[in-house]
Amino acid sequence: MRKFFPILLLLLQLTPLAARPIDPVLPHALQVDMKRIAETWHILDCHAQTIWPGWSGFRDVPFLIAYPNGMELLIGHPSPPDGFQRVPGTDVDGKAVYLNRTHADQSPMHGPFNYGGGIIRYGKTKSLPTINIKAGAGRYEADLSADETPPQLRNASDKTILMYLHELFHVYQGTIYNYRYGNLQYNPTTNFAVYADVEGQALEAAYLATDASEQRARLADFLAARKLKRNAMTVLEGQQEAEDELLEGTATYVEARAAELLNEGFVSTMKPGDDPQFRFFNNASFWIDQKRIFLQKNREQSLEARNNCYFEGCFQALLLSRLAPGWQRRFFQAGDFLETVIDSVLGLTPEAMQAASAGLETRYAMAALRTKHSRQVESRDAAFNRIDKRSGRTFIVNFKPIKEYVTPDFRGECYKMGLKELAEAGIKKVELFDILFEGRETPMIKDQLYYIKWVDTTLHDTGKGYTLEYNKKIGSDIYTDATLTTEGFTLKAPKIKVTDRQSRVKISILAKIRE
Amino acid sequence: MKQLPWASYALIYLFFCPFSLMADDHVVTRQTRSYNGRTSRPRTQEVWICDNAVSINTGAVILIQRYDLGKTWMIFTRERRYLETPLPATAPAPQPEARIQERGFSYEPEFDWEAQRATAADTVNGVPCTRWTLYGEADYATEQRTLFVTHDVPINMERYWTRLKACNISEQLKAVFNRHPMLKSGFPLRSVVTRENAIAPTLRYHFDTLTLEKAQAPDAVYALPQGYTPVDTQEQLFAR
Repeated sequence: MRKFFPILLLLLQLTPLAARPIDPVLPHALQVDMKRIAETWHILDCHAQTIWPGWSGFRDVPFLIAYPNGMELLIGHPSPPDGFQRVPGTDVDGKAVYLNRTHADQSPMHGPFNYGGGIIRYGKTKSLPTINIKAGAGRYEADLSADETPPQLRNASDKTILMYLHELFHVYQGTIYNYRYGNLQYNPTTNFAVYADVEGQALEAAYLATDASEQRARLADFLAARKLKRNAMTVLEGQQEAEDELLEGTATYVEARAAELLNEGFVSTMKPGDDPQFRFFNNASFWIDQKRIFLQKNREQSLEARNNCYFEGCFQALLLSRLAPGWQRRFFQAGDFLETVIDSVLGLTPEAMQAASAGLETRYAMAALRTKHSRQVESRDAAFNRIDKRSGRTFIVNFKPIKEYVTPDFRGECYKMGLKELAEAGIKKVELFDILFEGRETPMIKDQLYYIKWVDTTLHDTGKGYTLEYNKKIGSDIYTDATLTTEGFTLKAPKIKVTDRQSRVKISILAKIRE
Repeated sequence: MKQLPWASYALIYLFFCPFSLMADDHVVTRQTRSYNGRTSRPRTQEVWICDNAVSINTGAVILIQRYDLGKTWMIFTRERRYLETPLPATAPAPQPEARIQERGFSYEPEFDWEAQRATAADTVNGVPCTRWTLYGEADYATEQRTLFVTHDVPINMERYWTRLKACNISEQLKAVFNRHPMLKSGFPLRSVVTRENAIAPTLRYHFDTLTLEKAQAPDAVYALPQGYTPVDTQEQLFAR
């Protein structure tokens, strides 16, 4: 028997993970996630009709959660894709639970994770809108409101549950609204940044105002600034911006309204200890205030256009709830934008609109805003012209095979241009499990979420431009425990693939954990 | 009188019979698409080509290009609507530089292609084929095309290339076909395309050729159907 034991161990090692039967005792992090989903449904059972009359069907929306180690949890899907296995004896409020370990590695599974999400259509034979959550090992400090968030609320499950409400509302929107214009993709000009700043200030002032006439006056400012901003945008861009607000703004409003209702009292389905990160919405007022912090921070950012839609949309919706209670009924079915509804609620005459426009310059100190935002916009454009046009041998570091967005530590200023992030002084570091990218002071671009691009301008069609040390070579182009060094950066990773063609070297990272 | 050999009768028949000489090229392909763990229902595409026209029928949408009239009709059968546009020029018009507001969002990969021809013989449904693998590498995307190419091609490949293929592939890929005449003159009975997009998950297409022949085209295959309503834009064409 003793002789067979090592062979048995070896056989177990060789058995593919996906073929192993599922352990009915799931890792603790997954069990906690299942409880959070049940809690989300419970909150909606209590409050959905108050938040948005008519909202139903939320318990039938599947959840897919992807973990940093590659494991995937699927809840409540009638047609799981290949690779998923039913977890025996486990359910979330009667919904079946599936696990896919086909691509799982040995990364540690202890949280707390940072959660981000969206909607995808998913399923093997029946494709359904599914909440697609990525549980990342990222840093909370990247969050815009990190400075203002009390330490006990960073990575709190309360925030994750509010995000689940947001995503579930998107699925509901899809049942009653026809998406028409596509997302706004827009690099701000100075004109855009200045009027967006005024819009944000006007909305915040209206929200904080205690008397109705002040609220209406500031909302008139908001509409006037918006009109002046739109003069320099195409009609389609204006429609895209307004539709983004309609979709994301109302979903953010759902978070804020839920927090308001939970602030008034809340009976949870969870027990203390079920989820160490859950604060039972004891600090619900913070999550409402956080939206206002986001509104402020976004309007101050000269180079960001799309993120405004979450918070400007949210505050338009919150203000509508004050000025025109019940405004949500048939809102999506009618297909009007938030700004159109506000316009009709205010019923401004052309003269009143003219007066609001004329007063913006002094009320919002626009000369100073123009100086501030133009400086940023001009610096971005100059950086783009300098960095994007560099030619020579291109080195691309590709994080997509490990499904990790690049979260670099930039050295100095970094400018956004579309999906590009341009760092003239380069990237200091990217550190992720056993991966370490260290850059020198040279222009670099983070692009398309997963890639770092660096151009060696001293090399054109001649010269390799890098050295490579490794432990083992697999096939013709895969290396384990590799260190690749160029004049611009050094990359250490457990497993890489190097594709070397005449003008481009692409380094694809294949593993984040050393085997 | 000396009897003509059998083959000569056949040649005379071919010479005088307008149908067989005027026969059009007919290609039917079936395609599936796999994405995010899901494989789509197979979709069929039927193509007819003659000297003056091309008709591509995907069921819901029919595209007819009339070279004699200089027109393209895009037809949405479900709503009985069509959009008429001038035939595209051979060389696409140079695109104006994007406004600063739009830069950096969309990413169109510019692939550098390499082609490899397999030495071992392959067959598709019993037809001998040569397997070619084309590797495309761009900054943030890759694409691999595996083509099972037959050289027993009954259709006019030059016309097929000019009218269909060359206008639907990039200049870089065109250059690969031009570098490999065997690849350009053959017809892929089966193609498997795997695209690793910059951001989106892997996309895989599988194409099978079901019909490859010369045949008489059905009546009006290149004509605008009766009773359809003209529209001015693609949005109007496909509006619900």
